[in-house]
Amino acid sequence: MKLHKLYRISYTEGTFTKKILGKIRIPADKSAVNRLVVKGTHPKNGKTLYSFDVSKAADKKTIANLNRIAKDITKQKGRLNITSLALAVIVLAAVILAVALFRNVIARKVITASLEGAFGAKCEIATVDLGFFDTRMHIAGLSVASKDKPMKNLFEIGDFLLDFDLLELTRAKLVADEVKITGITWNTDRTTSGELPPKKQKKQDAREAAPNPILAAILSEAGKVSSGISVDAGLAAVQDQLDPVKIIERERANLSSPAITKKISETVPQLSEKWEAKSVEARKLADTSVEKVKGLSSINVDSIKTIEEARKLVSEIDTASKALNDAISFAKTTSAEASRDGKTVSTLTAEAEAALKADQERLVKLADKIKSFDLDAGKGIVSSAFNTFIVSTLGAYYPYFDKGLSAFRASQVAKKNERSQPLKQKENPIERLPGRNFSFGSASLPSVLFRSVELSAHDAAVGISGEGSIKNLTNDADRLGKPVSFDLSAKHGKMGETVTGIVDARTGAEPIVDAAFDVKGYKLSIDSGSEAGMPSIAGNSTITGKLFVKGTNEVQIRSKIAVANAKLSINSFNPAFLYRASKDALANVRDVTISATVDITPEGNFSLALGTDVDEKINRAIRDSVSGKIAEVKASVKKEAYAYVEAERKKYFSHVNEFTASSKKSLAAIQDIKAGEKALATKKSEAEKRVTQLLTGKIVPKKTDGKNPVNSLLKKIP
Amino acid sequence: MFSYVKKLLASLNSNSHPGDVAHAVSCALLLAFVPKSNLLWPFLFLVTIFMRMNKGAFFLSFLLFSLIVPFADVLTERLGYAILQTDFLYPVFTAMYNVPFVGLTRFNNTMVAGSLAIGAALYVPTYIAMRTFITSWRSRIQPVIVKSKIYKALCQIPLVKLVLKAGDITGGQK
Repeated sequence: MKLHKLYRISYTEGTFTKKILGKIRIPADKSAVNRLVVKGTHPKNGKTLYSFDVSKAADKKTIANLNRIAKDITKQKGRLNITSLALAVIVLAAVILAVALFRNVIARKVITASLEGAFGAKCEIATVDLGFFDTRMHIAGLSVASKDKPMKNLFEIGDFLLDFDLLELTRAKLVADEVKITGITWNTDRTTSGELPPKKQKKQDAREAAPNPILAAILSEAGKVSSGISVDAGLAAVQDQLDPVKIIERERANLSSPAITKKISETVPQLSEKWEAKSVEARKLADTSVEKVKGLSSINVDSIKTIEEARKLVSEIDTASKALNDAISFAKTTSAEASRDGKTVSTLTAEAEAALKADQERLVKLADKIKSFDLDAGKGIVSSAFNTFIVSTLGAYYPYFDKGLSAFRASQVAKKNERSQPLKQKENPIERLPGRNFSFGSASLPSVLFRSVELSAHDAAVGISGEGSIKNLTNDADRLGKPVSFDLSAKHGKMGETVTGIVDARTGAEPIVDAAFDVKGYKLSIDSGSEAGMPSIAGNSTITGKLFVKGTNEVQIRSKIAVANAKLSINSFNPAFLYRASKDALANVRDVTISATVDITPEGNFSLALGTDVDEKINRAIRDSVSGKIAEVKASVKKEAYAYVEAERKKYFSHVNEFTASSKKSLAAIQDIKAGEKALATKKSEAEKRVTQLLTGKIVPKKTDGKNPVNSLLKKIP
Repeated sequence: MFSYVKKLLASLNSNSHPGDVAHAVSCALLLAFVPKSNLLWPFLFLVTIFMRMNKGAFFLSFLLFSLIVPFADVLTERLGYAILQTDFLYPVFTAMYNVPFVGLTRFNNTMVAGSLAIGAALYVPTYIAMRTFITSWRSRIQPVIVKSKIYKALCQIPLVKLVLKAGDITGGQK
């Protein structure tokens, strides 16, 4: 075994101490090395030299031990590993170079994946140019497909230019002084399907938050309008004053005949039913009695030759009489009952007649009292039509505004008081706390800030062009200390919209939204459909107004709607003279200006106030036309009053007639039973007489006129 | 893991510089304190990678400290908060905050600031303590252990033999 080369070199005193002894840390090892050390002198300069007497390390064990020590010594180098560091620097440089070379490819991948994740459909980008050191990003030809219509693009952006702040980006903040988005188009055709492969599709969260009270109030009003519930004004109100049927309907509560008619309807049918049942029972008893009486009547008393035969007949008649007694008793009871019920019905009929007479007089007097009409109720016919339009418009568009506002508010970072932020509770002992972040300097900015966003859109196919600018768009308005301001406008043909204002998400800011809108050139068409007395309005509209949303979520809209070249029409309705008057009045209107004030409280109370001078003009015209029609209305009301009385009479008459028919049937059966009783009594008298004759031996054939009195009685029975 | 133990034992019982292990333990303590979700941690880690130190001691200590350090988080956070609130350091922090990429170190986070401060403060005492321990180990403790009867008896156990062979606790002094 060879000894390490370290032991074959001579060292000066300093070198020996520093490089050999200084690097041996174990005392035993130091002793082992020192045992080989031999001191000498340098032949030239005479300095002390240290060398090793290798002959002293004769055995393998010693050599191995010395070699181990030498290895330990040679291992000890400087603290920094320069070679590794150089290698790492080279690798880092290579990575930076690769990123620099492929930054656009990487950026395109990242943006595509983000947009596909956000919109759930394919995203394509023509070019991406990311100038990292000149802090600019330019995207050209960006298109995002529609998730629901894969062969259509949701939107396309011609050019997207972002000037970002590198310093802020290194603080993990996206701050851009300028964002330009031009060439925005939407709903354009695609040549390939924009559907994502199934793997990339994400399940959308179907949960929807419950609407806030403001939105709920608007949607509720819109729902009422669509179902016609809230249309309770307009000419329908005037129409009510002139419609005889409605006049009588309103007076109905004061009439006495409905109560008595109701009473008859409730009691008499029950009596009719009762007497219908009783008539069946009475008829049955009457038929049985008549059958028996007929059998006995057929016996010729004169043909009886013996006393026994005569007594037998008397006995049979007695038996039959006893059997007939039950029927007679029933007949008597029923007869008394029929008399009582008949009296009740008669009383009710008399009451009804008296009531009808009184009601007829009352209604005639009511007709005579009509001297004028209150046409104030019909003042707001144009306003009423606009009510529908405004509430429907709010119902259609406010949810989008609400969504946007909610999203903007949700994007704001939670307001933190860094001095009092509580420490997050750890979920497990080795989880680290997140800590709190501080910002330094006056230029401390929010984590997302776009100081200026310029938008430009033009769609030649549909002729829509728009432009706008948004300033200070941020996720932390408190930190920025400024509200978001916007100025957006769009044009398509003669139509145009402008929206300007601010959205202030700063703590305690009032109002949160202060926006002015201006919409002009739109063809307005308010169709009242089949709604009676409501006009349809068409024309060119200009809508201007202001929208305020306060910190408490209270919403105020102050708007002015002007309709030029207006055409107002109305569907025909009764009375015809009112229809004609309103049609003529509406036809004369050419311009409509209406002011609308919408107030929605935080609790969701909705109020809409509308005002226009057109309503007053129309009302005046209708008033002039209708005032001469009082006699016509009076006559109509009287005619309707008579018709009403007759109809009421018919109603109760039918019940009384039913009762009379039922009771008559019962009475007829009772009469039959009574006739049977009489016939039986006569027969018995004859039989008894015959017995007497037979006993006294004075049997003289009875001479008759050929008519049997019993038979004549029996013939009366049906 | 076994290789780290082997490296540590070998280093303790060889002529390697005591600073190798002392620096490794100190660096491990510092890295265990600093939260990992920032650019500072990878930077410090890279520094330790390029330092000649005992990697076995480093990784073992890092594992050990990573389990202990979170229990001091509340204290760390409060210290960080106090540091970041210190008025006289405000210009320094502001200047640092305005240097590109420095923000990515999240030095403005109370946990990062506090942990860096504690880690740095404990670096030197840990280093000194470890060096003292290693020197004592080599000069006093290790010779006593090697000569003890218990050690000699334990050396007869096969598993202990294997570990000792790997670590060479005798330092060549049988």
